Amino acid sequence: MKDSFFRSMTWLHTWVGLLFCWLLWLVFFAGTLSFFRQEISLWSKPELHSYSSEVQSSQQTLLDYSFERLNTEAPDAARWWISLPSERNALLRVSHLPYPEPGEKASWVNHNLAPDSKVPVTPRESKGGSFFYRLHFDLHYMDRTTARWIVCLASLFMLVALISGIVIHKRIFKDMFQFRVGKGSRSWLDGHNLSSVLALPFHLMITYTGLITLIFTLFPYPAQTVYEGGVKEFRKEFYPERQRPELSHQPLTSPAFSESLDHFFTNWPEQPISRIIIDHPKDAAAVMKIYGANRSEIKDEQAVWLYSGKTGELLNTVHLEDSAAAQLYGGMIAMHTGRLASPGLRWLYFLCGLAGCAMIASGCVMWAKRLRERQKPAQPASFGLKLVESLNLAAIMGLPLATAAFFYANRLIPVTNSGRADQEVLMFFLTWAATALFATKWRNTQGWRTLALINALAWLTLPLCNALTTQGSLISYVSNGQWALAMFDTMALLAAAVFFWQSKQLQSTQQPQRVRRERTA
Amino acid sequence: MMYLIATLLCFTSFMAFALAKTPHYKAVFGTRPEHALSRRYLIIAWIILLLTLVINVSQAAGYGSLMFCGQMAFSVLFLACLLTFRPKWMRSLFYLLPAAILLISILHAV
Amino acid sequence: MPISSYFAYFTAYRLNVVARFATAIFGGYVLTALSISVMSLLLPVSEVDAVLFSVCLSVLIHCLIFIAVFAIKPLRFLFAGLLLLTTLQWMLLLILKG
Repeated sequence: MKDSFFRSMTWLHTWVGLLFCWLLWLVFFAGTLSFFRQEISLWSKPELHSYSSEVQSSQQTLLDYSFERLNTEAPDAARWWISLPSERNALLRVSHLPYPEPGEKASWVNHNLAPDSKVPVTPRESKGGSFFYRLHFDLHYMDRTTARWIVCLASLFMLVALISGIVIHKRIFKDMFQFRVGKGSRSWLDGHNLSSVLALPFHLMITYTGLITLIFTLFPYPAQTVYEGGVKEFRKEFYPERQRPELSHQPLTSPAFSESLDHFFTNWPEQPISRIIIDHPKDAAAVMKIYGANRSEIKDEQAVWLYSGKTGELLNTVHLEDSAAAQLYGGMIAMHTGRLASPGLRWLYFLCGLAGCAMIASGCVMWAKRLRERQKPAQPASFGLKLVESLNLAAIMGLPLATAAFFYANRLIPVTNSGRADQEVLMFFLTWAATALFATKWRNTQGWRTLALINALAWLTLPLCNALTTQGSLISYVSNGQWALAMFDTMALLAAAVFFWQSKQLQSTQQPQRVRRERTA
Repeated sequence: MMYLIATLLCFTSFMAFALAKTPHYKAVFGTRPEHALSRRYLIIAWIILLLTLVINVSQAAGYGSLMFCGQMAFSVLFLACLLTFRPKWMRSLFYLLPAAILLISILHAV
Repeated sequence: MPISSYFAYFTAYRLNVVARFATAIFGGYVLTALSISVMSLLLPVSEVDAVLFSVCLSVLIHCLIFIAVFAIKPLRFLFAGLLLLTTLQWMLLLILKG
């Protein structure tokens, strides 16, 4: 066995890639969309489109108003929650959680308000970008822990595939700009190499940090060795702000919330607030937690100031100056989620994510092509090959189509339907299932072409559907400077263009293939 | 603004990397490059790439290096598309890129 | 080469790779879990920091083991090495925990 290390690496790369490629495709696709989670959520709630994210009122006035409102509306709540508007979220949200009735679970009462006019806004029920965010690591129709384990394993395989890929294909750096179009499996290999090399640092980073986000599922052992109570106790120490104070059962007659706020505003005048949570606002044990908004520093946890509701004094500050280890951990998670990114970096993240999708998809297709080439042309396709080809088609073309269906459902399902958020999700999976059914029957180039055309059509008409069902359209978004919405429509059109180009490419490759088939027959 | 300059520089660097390779050079200029010329392109590419990294990191260590990763990805993607479909257009970039960098630098300084 | 011996070579090769694969995943997991647990006890920083450092390094360690499992040629040597490392760390962990 000459060069067995390289041979085994090649083997490893192929099989590790294959075992999980369809799942990884889903994870990468959903993750790439999740970089624009807020923007997608905004798009899927047209009721919010008319509010601009430029807020005239200061944070102090908004907070004063919210406190007043909560005081009259829900003085006896278990928790108050005030989310202030930010660059990516235009609304002020004032919520409270009542004390639960015995034997029941209380649920939050939310009020979304236009920050300047204080007019209540009720957006339609939709998961929006959060659906893709959850799909990215919790999958769907599945127990959360199981799903996370599966995703963890897949990411681990991804990392191994990446490293073994670098080992076996040292040549990839040599011809990294090469992309030969219309040369059959040669082009697929080029595409695979190009998409992996161009964002290689990103792929390595995103996979590693992705594992770190779920690391306490995968490796709870250090926490279990060090702490008696395991991960739970570790969390208690690392996230003191997530603990709730015990009820003292003594009423709080004159809360000192505004004194605390004054203290905060005088001592940290530069620090914007993202939200304020108050536990037991009418109890003497009340605690006010002020969450500072993170700016572009690479950290995940927001700094929190904990104030006593009774005396108004500063009890504790958390994550204000992190230790090196906490910076490392938080930094990795922040790099993964990309919440810190300004628009420029966010687009670069998106681009790299797309490159990752392309890498996985081209890998899947290439493998199927190799399998087919290895088979004698006269021989009927084996079950394995059929399965791989169907799965490829169903996954790669089905997921974008299902995504489009999700967005159509968002616009077309009546706003008054109860449980419409779940109906949107159902539409997503139904469309995907339909594609899978289609793929079992037509796995050939014709099938790919048909689905590419359907995809192109779906994405092309999505901005049209949006313009017909809402007040705005691409033109009005551009003229009003609503860039998030304008970019959504542009991306849909771009996706349509890409799918159209793909169908053209498939058409041109179809001819020689047919000739070859005839010759062998 | 600095990040924009860095992006353009990064692009320039990868353009030099591409032109250091014989097939790409041939696709752009139609002639084979001399060995010394390829070497020069390679050296220039590395110098500019390092400069890009320095600019990015000097803006903000963590954020800058994330930007650097993204800029490299963008540059390679764009160049690959250009070399595949319109290699001749690369010639005009010889004038456009320095002009753009100069213009933005002046705007930044003002 | 007769077909049967070619086949035997091929099967042996595949078996070899599958064995390494299983070792890399499961053995690697156990070994990583043990090493980071020992590490979290030995690091001279606060408890929270020790846990955070060791979980951050866990993936790197697992990857290194993964590669090592495929890089070390003789299977016997590989298994012996992994077993030895695992037992040593396990004993160390038991001693440290008391």
